[in-house]
Amino acid sequence: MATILRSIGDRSLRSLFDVEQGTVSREMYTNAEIYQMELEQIFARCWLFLGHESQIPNPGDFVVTRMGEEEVILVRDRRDKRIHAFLNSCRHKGMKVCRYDDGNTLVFTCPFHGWSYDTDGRLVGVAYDDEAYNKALDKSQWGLHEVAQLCDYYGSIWATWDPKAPSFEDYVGAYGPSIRHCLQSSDGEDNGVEVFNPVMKWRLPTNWKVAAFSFATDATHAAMTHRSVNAAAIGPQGEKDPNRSPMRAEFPSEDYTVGDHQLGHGGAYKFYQQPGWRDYVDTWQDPGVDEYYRKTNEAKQQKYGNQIMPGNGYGGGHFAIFPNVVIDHWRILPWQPHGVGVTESWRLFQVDKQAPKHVKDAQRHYVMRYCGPAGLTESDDMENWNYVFPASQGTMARRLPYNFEMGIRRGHPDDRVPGFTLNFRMSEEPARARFSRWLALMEAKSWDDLYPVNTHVNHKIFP
Amino acid sequence: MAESSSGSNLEGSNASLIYRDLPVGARVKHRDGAILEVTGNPRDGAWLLVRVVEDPNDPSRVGQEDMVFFTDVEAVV
Repeated sequence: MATILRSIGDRSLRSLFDVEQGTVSREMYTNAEIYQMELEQIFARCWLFLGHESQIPNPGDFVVTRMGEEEVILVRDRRDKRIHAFLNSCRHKGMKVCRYDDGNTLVFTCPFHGWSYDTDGRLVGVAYDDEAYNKALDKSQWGLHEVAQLCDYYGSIWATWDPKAPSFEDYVGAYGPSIRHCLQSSDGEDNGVEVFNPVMKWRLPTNWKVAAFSFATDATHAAMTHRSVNAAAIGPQGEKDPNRSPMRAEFPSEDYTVGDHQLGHGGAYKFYQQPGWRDYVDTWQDPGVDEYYRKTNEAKQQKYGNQIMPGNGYGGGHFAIFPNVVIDHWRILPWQPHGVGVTESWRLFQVDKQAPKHVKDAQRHYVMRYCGPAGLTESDDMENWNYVFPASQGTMARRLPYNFEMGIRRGHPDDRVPGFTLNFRMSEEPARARFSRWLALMEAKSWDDLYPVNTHVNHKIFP
Repeated sequence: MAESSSGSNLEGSNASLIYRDLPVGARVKHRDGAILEVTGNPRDGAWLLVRVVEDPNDPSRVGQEDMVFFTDVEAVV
């Protein structure tokens, strides 16, 4: 089905891709009409990452998160402790009912006319209920607008506005076990992590896809973009010693870049070839930290002594869950759209729940100096993300396509992970998979036209 | 008359602060005459979660939980 872009001469969305050459029009990142369509076609329908349950451990705890451009209150009900997600918009006149990033509350009271909502979303207080409404207002019809589906997946919270969306498990497909594994503590226990609060947030002058689609494993950027930090070796050991990084510990595996063109997910993927888990390699210069992780690593070795670990996961590199989040074993990285050229980058950093304070402190210090606007590595990436947008926006620049041909025609299926296209360790298969899914979602009228609700469709557009 | 026996003036310029800081267990008088005990204060200066202690107009409401808006509160008692 052709969806037409009026702003650029009635072009179809499909015409943005030269699938044989592996190129993508720069309108993809710069066109405001496309961006507006994405909010409706993608962010109003897909499963989106909202947060982690450790951010709201107590009854009445809340954080304000986002789904697309809209604020959403993620709250744990003060009575039954269930987690809810509500649009942060009073049903009366649309004012925000919550203007804090996080906190604990009994109710959410709109500061405009005082409509008040319980933590389960019910409208419980209407000012002048008797005089102004003659007690005739049916409060049961005017609760906060709640997401259609919410899933607590091993501690990570996801939601969709679309009641017809498939289950979260079907939505993530073969990456489900990888997400689960990344949310395990270092001793291999499910739901074993918490995230550091507050969440790191900062805005980038770029389109959300510039980062979200390229972060799904951009294998060739590191040598150039991160040349200086690589030279400085800012890993937790603070020194350049190839024998001290767990990323370099030997454990038999096969490494690929993968893309699921039907679901849009993709990134690094590692098949472990034998049961068990690697030996721990001392990594930290902070006192007592290696001792903790050595012990948890032994526990993990015992747990996986007779079984092969899930693909990807610890040390397997990061992978993207369509549309706007990347996950690895120490970070959850959403990119929140705020406009065609404004993106808010969020970073949630995982740490073992049961870790002692000195370990959590060491971990927190490490992620702060690695990630975020002040982090040495991620500030490298920001230079690229920030300038891609303005350098692609001009009259001439927009006529040129982006090149995504790396590894094209070299992908192949693999029975071990149905749906995945496996490619060489350095390829843009993950990005191409995201574009396949992007086009399918942008063209589809409903989930009835989309995999996996419709199992007969083929969304893959690249060879 | 909003002056209570405890001296909390809910008509004065500090009324919203007094209201915001009312502790659980405090009692207020509704303008319809009901006496309400605070069971929760969201500290928004607007609402109190209350339990009905006395209601001369409808004794069957005693024990019920409700919310009360600040304009309906006559006094702290």
